[in-house]
Order: sequence, then C-alpha cells, then structure tokens
Amino acid sequence: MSNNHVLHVIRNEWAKTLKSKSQLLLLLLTPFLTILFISWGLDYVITQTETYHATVYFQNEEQLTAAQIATRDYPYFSQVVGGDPKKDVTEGKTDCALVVSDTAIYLYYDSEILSSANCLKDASDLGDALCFAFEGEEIFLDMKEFMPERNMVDLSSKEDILNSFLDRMSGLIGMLIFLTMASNALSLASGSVTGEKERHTFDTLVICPAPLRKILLGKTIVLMMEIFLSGLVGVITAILSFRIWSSEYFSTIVELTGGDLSWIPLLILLLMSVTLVTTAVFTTISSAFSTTRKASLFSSAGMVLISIGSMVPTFTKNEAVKFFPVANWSIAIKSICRGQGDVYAIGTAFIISVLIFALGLILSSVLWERTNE
Amino acid sequence: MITIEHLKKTFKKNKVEAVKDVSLEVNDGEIFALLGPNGAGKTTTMRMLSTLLVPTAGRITYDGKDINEDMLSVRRRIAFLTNEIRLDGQFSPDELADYYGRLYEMTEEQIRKNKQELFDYFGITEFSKRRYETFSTGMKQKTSLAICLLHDPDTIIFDEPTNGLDILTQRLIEQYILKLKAAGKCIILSTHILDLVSRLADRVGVIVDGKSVYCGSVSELASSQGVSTIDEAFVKLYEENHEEQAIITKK
Repeated sequence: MSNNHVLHVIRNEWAKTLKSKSQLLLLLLTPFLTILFISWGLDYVITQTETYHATVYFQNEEQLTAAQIATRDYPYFSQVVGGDPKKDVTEGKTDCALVVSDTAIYLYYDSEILSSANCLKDASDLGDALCFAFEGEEIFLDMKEFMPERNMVDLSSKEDILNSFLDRMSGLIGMLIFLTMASNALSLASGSVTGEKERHTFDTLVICPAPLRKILLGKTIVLMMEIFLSGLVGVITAILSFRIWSSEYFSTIVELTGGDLSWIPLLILLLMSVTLVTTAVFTTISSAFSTTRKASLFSSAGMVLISIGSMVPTFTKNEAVKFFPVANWSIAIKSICRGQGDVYAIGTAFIISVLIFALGLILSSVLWERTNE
Repeated sequence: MITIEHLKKTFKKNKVEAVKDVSLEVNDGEIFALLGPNGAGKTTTMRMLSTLLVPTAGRITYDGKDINEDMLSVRRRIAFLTNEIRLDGQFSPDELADYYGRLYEMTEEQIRKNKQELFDYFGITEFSKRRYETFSTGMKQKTSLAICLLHDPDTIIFDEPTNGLDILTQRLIEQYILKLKAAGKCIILSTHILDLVSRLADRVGVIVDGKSVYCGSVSELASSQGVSTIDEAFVKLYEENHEEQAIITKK
C-alpha cells in the first residue's frame, strides 16, 4: 500500500489540473496561439518586407534600349548586355536573372539564396512588361511563340529547400516551443510546490505517513505531464502552421522523408529531455522558497540561464553540444526533421536529463522540508 | 505516553530561540492543555511534537520511542490541527477525505466508514460534494478537523482549534474533544482561553519565554501558586518567570 503514495499524489494533482479549467486552457492555448501567430508573422515578414537585387540580361544593345521604359518602375533590377546569368545566380551575385532571348524570357533563380518572394513576383511582372515593350519594337519574331515560354527554373536542390525550411523551424519556432515549455514549468512549479506553503496546505501533507520525496515525485510527474503536453501542442502547431503558411516547404519535407515516421520517437525523447531538465530546475528553485513571489523572481533568473543554455550552439561549433540536454535542442530538432536524428546523441542527452532530474528531486525534497521552518 | 525532555528550538534563519527548555509529560487518555502568552513557544513546541519541526536539542518520545527514530510510524498515530491549516480549495470534503485516507494507507472500506461518521458528526455530509473554497470559516475548520481525524489517530494535537469560530462550532469541537478522550485518545491542546482549559483539561503545562514553568493537574495549578483561580495562577507564573518582568520585580 505504501508504494502507492506516488500514484495517489499523481491522481490528486492531475485531478487538480483538470479542475483548474483556466490553467489547463492557458497551458494548451499559449503554445498553440504563440506558435501559430509567430509562424504566420515570420512568413509575413519574409514575404512582405525584404528587398532584393535582380538583373535583366539582354542579348544586345537594341533590346536594352527598347526595355528602358518597361524597366523604369523596377528599381531593384539592374540591366546588363551579355554575361552568364546562371553562374551569377548560383554564385549569389544576383537574386534572380531575367534573361531575354530572341523568342522567350527566362527567369533563373536559386530558392536557397533567394529570400524575397517579391523578387519573383516583380520579375514576372517585368517579364510581362518587357513582352509588350518588345512587341511594339518587333524584337520578338513571333509573340505567340514567346508568351507560353516564360519559364522559371529553380536551380537549387530539394535538399537546399529542406535546409532553408529547417533553419527557420529550428531557429525561431523551435526556440519558441522551448521557451513556452520553460515558462510553463516556471509558473506551474511555483504554484504546485511553493504554493502548498502559501496556501497553508503543506502541513497537512507533510504530516502524512508518506515520505516527502514520494509526494514531491508525484507532484513533479504531473508537472512533467503538463510541460510535455504544452511542448507537444507547440510541435503539432508548428507542423500545422508550416503546412498552412509554408506549404511548399512542407511538401518537400514529406517528399524527401518519404513519409517515414521514425522521427516521432526521437522527437518525443527530445521533448522528454527538455521536460525533465526544466522540471528539475524550477522545482528545485520553487522548493527553496515559501512565497510564490520570491520563487517566481528566482525562477526568472533560472529561465534566463536555461535560455542561454539552449543558445549554446550559436556560440560554439563544438560537436559535444549535441550530447547535452537543452543545449542540443536546436541541433537535434534540425537533425530529426531531416530524418537524420542521432539516436546516440539524443539518447545520451536524455540519460543526462534523467540524472539531472534525480538530483533535482533529492535537492528539492531537502529544501522543501527545510523552508517549512 | 509522550515525554518531552529539555526541548530546544532555534530558527537559524532569523536566529530566534523560540523554545529554550521545555520538559513535559502527557499521559494516554488525558486532555493536556499547553498554556502560555503570545510568543512563549507553544506553537513551536506543538509543531515539534507533530514532527513538522526538528528540535535543535532535547528529546521527544512516544511510548518510549524517540520520534526521530521512526518518524513515519509516529505520523500514522498523530493528528495535528491549527486554525491556520487549510486544504486544497478545488476539492470537496469527499475528495479530500479519499485522498488523505489513501495517503494514510487506509483501506477504501475504512475511509468510507470513518468519513461517514465524521461528516455526520460535524454536519458536513450535506456539503460533502461542494468545493472546500466555497465554505465559511467554521465549515472549513470542521472539514479540516474531520480530515485530520480520518485515520483514527491515538494522539491529537490541537493548536488553538476554536480561534475565530462561532459559539456553536466551538461547542461542537469541545464536545468532540471530550468524545475523543472518552475513546482513550491523548489530546494536547494549546489555547489562550483559560475557561476552556478549566472545563476540558486534566493536566496543564505552562510555558513562559520558551521555558516550561509548570506541569501538573489543572485542579492543583491555582493551589500550587497560592491563589484561588487558574487565571491568577497563570498571571503569577508569568510575572515570576517572564525575563523583563522578573527584572522589574527584582529591582
């Protein structure tokens, strides 16, 4: 019977979560709305605000002269006679190349380099304008032949497209999922652990013949369930958002991975790893204080440290980073989405997380009882 | 039988010596009242007796066994109630009883039986499905009492249990304390209400400035101090033992 103490606490804490409808709603809605809104915002910013540098390649001076009026309204397009447009595009000398031949206009671009959707739209419009301009000058031999052949050729590989997509996902969106989990851990831990003292319910609990570490274990298991749930909602929302806002990238991912679902257990392991570490950190901080105000204040400092920890790959290229929980977050997200998740690295980080959690639990038990004085 | 020997408690955080030297004996089947002015160290002593605080020095034994040797088995046998204790507001008395009953390792049948008996006595049955946070102060106190007593403890420690309660609830709790005594339970009661002590208690302990200055029967308290009432005896003990007061008297 005594072995069931943890189970009883889990049942009670979970029932408490379900009874606090507003808290549950906030727990699920925060990652959902944040990720959805930021994904849309990210797409909006990229699509709407970036400028570009494009070039129109003419075969001769006659074409260049005839195009002057048409190109007047396109300040981001420079004009050259001759040159090697494909080379210029792949080397990044120009974002896209509008190439005028005798019979058609070709648009060359590299989607890996090209970051502005406006560039392609403007190039397309300029192509139309050039067609009409050249029609008047009778440069094209046959307009019927020209019109259908305004071709757009993407010189980047599908892997390049995938990389671009993953950089976006593992960067801002990945960090947002992580921060949502950490901030939920902060508020939930101070409410659940420090709150017992502030609500004067701690004495009734501690006087039970259940070891305090078992009560704390039960509480932290429910905390982990809640934090993991918020992370999972974040990941699912991120996938849905990219499906909606960036459908081209999403299709490429699906095509390249061939519908292989082996990334799911790795992603779950990674989420578990973050859950364990954030729970351990914020439970330990919360157990050291008897008021939620103080606990939240010190937890904010913990939040800053954890956030810095998750940004370690930005500061160093050291391979060892991938073996450490939290620090491995962005690297692991990227590798998992590519279908190249490193089981060994993610597994090692998970084992370290379990150790950190165990250490946090022991420390929390001691601090929790001591601060009752 | 509970024995307290030279108990001492110093809070490291604010360096306050709350209990300096307390020695008392509480017998089975009696109501023992702990008296003392505000800040005398009654609550700290009660919290050490309840295993909520660890003494800095001294010893507490339950039936000859040191409480630090097997704290969990002591916790199975005791109940502790103060007017400050609260329960989780989202739950109903019914849910709270089930939860704490399970933590006390009771069987479902025991929980059901004890719950029904206590809820009926304190008039909680009608409200047993309502959230605890919606209750009045008296109803909350009655629910807390019922939950604390659910596991049928041998020793019940009450720290000012009737503070802030109306006369009807006070009387109900007093009657239940007498019922517990009749059932052979040991009751330790801390209160400022001397009238309550004279009506309920068999023996009394007086603490002044963290030191026990009297331990004996209620009936002998007045005569031992050469006065006629326990009120006068309490004041006399205080004046003789309170450090600042003692200096003034000496001067």
